[in-house]
Amino acid sequence: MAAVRYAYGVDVAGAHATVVRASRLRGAIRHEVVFDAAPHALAGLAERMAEEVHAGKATLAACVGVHESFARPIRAPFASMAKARKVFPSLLDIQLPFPIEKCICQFLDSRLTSDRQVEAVAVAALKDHIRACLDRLAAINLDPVILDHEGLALWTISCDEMPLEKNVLRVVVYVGYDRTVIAIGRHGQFLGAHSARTGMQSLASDNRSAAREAARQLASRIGQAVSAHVRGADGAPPQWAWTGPGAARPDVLDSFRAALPASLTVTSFTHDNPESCLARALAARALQPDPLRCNFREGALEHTHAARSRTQRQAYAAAGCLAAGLLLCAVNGAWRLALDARQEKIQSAITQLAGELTGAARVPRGQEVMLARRALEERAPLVAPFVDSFSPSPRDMLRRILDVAAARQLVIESASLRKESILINGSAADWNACEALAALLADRAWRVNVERRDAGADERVHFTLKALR
Amino acid sequence: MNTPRLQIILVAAAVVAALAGIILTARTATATPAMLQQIKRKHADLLQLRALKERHDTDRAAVQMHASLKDSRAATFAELLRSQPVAHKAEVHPRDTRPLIEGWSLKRIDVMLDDMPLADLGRLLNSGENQRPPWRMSECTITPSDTMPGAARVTLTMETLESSKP
Repeated sequence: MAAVRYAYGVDVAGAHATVVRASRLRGAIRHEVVFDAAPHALAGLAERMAEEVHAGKATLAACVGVHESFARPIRAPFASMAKARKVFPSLLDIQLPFPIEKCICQFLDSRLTSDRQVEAVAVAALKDHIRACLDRLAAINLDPVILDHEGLALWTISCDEMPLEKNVLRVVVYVGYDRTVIAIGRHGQFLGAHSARTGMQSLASDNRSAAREAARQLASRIGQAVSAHVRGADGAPPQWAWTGPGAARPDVLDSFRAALPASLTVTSFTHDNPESCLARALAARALQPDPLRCNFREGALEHTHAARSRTQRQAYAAAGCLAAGLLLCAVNGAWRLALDARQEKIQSAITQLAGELTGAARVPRGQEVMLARRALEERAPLVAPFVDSFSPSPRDMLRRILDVAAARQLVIESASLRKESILINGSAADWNACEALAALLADRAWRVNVERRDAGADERVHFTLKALR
Repeated sequence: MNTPRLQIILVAAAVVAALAGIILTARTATATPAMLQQIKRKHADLLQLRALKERHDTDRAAVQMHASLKDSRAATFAELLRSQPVAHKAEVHPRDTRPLIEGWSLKRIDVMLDDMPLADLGRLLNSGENQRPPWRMSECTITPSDTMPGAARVTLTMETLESSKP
């Protein structure tokens, strides 16, 4: 369900209807009773609510009574959540007195227990009962988007408004106009819901003895239901939470309490504004996420607006997926094209250069460098003399050698200069004088080797200098 | 076309587009490293070819420089010797002529100079290099003269480029 601004909760009980509007206000839920009268006077508000629902501003929630539905914990004897979800319908089917196919059922708040089992709250209602409920609501111009479970709604609002202490069993008693509903649970765990068709009309009857008898019968029935859970909770007495229109009537409440076994009613409290408690619960649950939230309107019974919204959401999701897919295709295509273009551009430059260098009209791909290098190597001896004519002349080297020889008083007996080698035989006045010649050549990247002989009769040091490129 | 059918078509198109996008992305992701590697290789080839082209251009420029000279061949070495202020006794022997490109050839000669003062040798070599095309010394052997101090017996190998084109 898309986020809505308001949620209306409707509690219809015979000749009385209560409508609460819940809205979000700074993270909290604000409730406002917008109708509390006989259902036939609801037409105007119903029309306005329908308009808001169709405009997507609000949602409308009602509930299927506990007497028309089923809610209880269910356990799957293994630790796999996925497996448990698959077998829950079969497990529930065994417990139901009618085929599960005739029901709308949901499994809420699945959790792993300490003994490695998966527990959930199973809620179910016969499709016929849901249709009947919808028909009753349609008769007073109401078409709820959400059809909640009455017991779960009461349990949730009670825990929200009065948080439950650990290991305390709580019995939420809703004393309505035409019925009494109890929801039982302990901290974080819903245990079950029960209903009786005795309501405030009987309990507040002018006939005092009839009223007392009704209270006694009701108390007896509720006492039986509660006792089973009390036994499971080590015998500790439960906490009673009173709510519903009957809880606002001290006389009704007192007679009811008096009829209950004293051992069971140690602690109790009454919710604030108990008359609107169920409507408040329905509105609040419609507005905020909750693990125990449920809606029996699904499949063929789904609200037209909800179905339309869902279809619209699916269409948006599909359109988003389509756009993302197309975008991915486009990005990938563009990337591949860009890479191909880059490669082609480089290849074209390579082909052009290789053509220029080899002089061939067509150079095989991948061999461009090799063929171009080979072409240049083949041509190198033919162009080398042209290039050499611009390189430093050997004449310059000869002049330098002669200059150094003159400066160091070296006598050059013979000299031979070639492109790749120099050989000089000579004599010097001292041992180190020929080093200047060696340094001259070494500075110009020649590999120099000097052989000197001890001074002879002429008292000069004879040397042979060999230099190679 | 009714809405459910349109919805089915839209969902089908979305699934096809998403699958196509995912498959294309996977293929691109797989192919991209190889393509980038190939581009890198080709770029390296291009850089090598550019370096070769640079060398080729240098060679061409050197050839063009010679082609642009007014004279297609240098004066003979004998003429060069005659143009020197001091006459030297010299023997000139052609060594070889090697054909090059575009009608050019490399001509080499051996020159033997007896009792050549070393100062005059420098002048002679300078004068040769100032010719257009130049005479360049490629090899040189110097042995001192037995008879004349400050002079030497010089054997030179000189080379010049000449074109058969007028």
